[in-house]
Amino acid sequence: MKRFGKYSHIKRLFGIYFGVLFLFLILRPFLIPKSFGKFGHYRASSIDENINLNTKYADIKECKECHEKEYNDVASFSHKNLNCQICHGALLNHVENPDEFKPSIISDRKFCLLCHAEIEARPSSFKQIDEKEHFKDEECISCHLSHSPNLK
Amino acid sequence: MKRREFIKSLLGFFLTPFFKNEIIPNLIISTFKYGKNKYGMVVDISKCIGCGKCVIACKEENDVPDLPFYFRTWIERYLIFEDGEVYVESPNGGVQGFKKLNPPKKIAKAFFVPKLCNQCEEPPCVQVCPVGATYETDDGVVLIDKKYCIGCGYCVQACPYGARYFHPKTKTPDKCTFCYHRIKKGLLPVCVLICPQNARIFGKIDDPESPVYKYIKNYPLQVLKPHLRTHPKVYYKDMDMEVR
Amino acid sequence: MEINNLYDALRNIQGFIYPNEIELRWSILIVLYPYITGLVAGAFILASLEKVFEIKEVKPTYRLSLLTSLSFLISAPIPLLFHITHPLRGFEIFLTPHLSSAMAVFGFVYIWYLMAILIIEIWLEYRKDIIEWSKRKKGIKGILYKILTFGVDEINEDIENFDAKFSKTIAIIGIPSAILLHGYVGFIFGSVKANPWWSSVIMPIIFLFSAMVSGIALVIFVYMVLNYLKGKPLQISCLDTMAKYLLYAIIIDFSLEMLDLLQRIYEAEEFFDMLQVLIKGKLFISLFILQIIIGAILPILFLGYIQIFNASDSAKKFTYFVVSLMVLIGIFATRWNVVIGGQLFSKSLRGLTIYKLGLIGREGIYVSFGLILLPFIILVFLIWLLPFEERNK
Repeated sequence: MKRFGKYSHIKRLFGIYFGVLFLFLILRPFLIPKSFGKFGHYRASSIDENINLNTKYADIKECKECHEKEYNDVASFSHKNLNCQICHGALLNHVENPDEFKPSIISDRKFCLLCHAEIEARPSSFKQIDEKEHFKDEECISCHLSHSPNLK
Repeated sequence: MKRREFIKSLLGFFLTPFFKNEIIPNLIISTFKYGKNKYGMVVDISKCIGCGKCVIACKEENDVPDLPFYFRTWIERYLIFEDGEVYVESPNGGVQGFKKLNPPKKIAKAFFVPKLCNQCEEPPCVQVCPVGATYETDDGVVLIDKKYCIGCGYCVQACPYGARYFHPKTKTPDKCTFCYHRIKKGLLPVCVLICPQNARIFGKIDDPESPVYKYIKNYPLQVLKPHLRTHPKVYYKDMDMEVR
Repeated sequence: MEINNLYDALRNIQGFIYPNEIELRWSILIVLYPYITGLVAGAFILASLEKVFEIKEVKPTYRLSLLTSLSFLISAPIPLLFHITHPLRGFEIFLTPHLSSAMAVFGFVYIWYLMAILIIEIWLEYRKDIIEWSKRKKGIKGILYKILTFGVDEINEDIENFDAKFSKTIAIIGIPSAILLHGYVGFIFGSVKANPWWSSVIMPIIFLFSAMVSGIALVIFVYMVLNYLKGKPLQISCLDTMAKYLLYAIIIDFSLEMLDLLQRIYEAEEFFDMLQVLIKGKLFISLFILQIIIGAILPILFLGYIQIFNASDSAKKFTYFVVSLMVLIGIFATRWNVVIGGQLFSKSLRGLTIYKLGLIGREGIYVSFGLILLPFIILVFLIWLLPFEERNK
């Protein structure tokens, strides 16, 4: 007959518990990602992961290198200081591969109206027209050059 | 570092009554003080024309799904009528601009409000993340670690500004990062680059050369929900009392 | 929510919401989790009534309360695992818990309560029987009993006395542990300053008391069903005592909830207009009908009548059964109102979105039903292994 002490069962139970806890504490440093905790309670390598993303937008000074005329047109009139990419979309692709990626050339009336239609809440200091009145069947570019939009 | 500061503040708390006649509460902290070497943005509401180009550019640049449920930045239009009713809308975040509504009532005032992640200095979203998958960098931008996030969604609940959304592809939250991948290379965030009105102004808050510093110094500015003490770093010029 | 549901929500938005708020992220699974942990905490506190406060009348349900608590505790993490989108990363909560987050303590509190409180409590209660069964029973049961003895297959009076004292100590520690297990869930909601429906000091307290209410109701329900299925007689004094404590708990819980509502209405802060829209509209049925009338007022009336005027045994049994079901439904509605209600309105306080509960899918009705049935299935297994009839002690 085995003789068990008063606390044998408790000792065995807690032995198992502490064993598991001990195992966890030993494994934990191996399971936590290496850069965790370097700057704060997060994985420090995530900062670089967030920095090393690709951008799709170019610097418009690069547009000037090939499109100097359009650049100067824009620079002189009421669309001055506008970024080419407002109308032509993200252009880094085009800068890197000018022949493979051609940006769109917009001539549609709807596009100009996105900014220039008179709608509620637009500040009155901004040039806007009533789209139902102002030459409603014509394209904007029949009278306004898009890069230098004063009348032709 | 943090432990030392904590002990110092603790000692200060208990010893100060013995050495000073009055305890000057550190309650009045200006933007300049907590904006130490941190990025901030000013949004000039009086300039925004609601064209939606910033929303388009942001979605393009940051691979935000082109669906009306996910936005890193969006535009709201406020119409305040003379009978006191306030009408607010943000159709598809403003990505296709806004329509002419021709309301039957007379409008007292109306304006557009661009919104984005406020990059709070004490972000409630960081406070509630259970595993440490979102954090604030030393230069003030709150970022998300998408490889570590478990997707519990607590941060989305905790953001008072609705800046976070659940990205359907990564199945983690996502939000505006001030285009961190661009600003660390000296470029501007694309919403700032694109805005035809220069309604968004970006730079370091405490750098006297930065346009943000100049705006803070020269104009009265507001933040959203200041009573929640999140210390946002996006400041609004000419913001109306109806804006939430 | 799936894309189709999101387009639906888009069509059904009322007023203005921030564009990102269309999707309601915390679904019915997150309603289930507080509900289940509430049942765990409540059932345990009922058990501790006997152990710590030595209320003899509830002794017939002591073992049953513990087993019920365990079966629900085992099922508790499953709705969470189904909900998080990267469940395999779930162990990160143990590796790098962000201690400023109330949710981070889930790992510790759960493991502590499971290991240090509930399992030890059940083990100590059943040890004498387990040792005897390990010698008598054959087959799978015999093997399981032998494992559960940890090899210590002898018992004497000394050890029994020690077990009894240790068990009482664990039960005393268990009460604050059970409070923490469910209280932290209340704090998860109550500490979100961005959400005015959730942000409240009283939220953890309300969660706790509604947990106690639901736990007691659950044990009454399970006790009556199990004894009916086994053809055993019900001990009316036990039921009477449990019903009495249920009544007290409902009264306290209801008072706290009404106090919270009254304060919000009186102070009429910015959230007040949206609160009216909610409780008159989307939450009308789940708040007034289910939570208040069916979950609180009718049970108080029925149980109160029995307390004051008494009734026949069979009337009492019928009433207790119906009341326990009503309370279980009412507390589920309470959780629904908190979790879903808190996400329906926009943080701009200018509009509402909708919640579409699908049938199929990981967060649908079928899965939810399964998750509610699961603890009962586990309970059946536990009762098979550890029958709860009183031994001749």
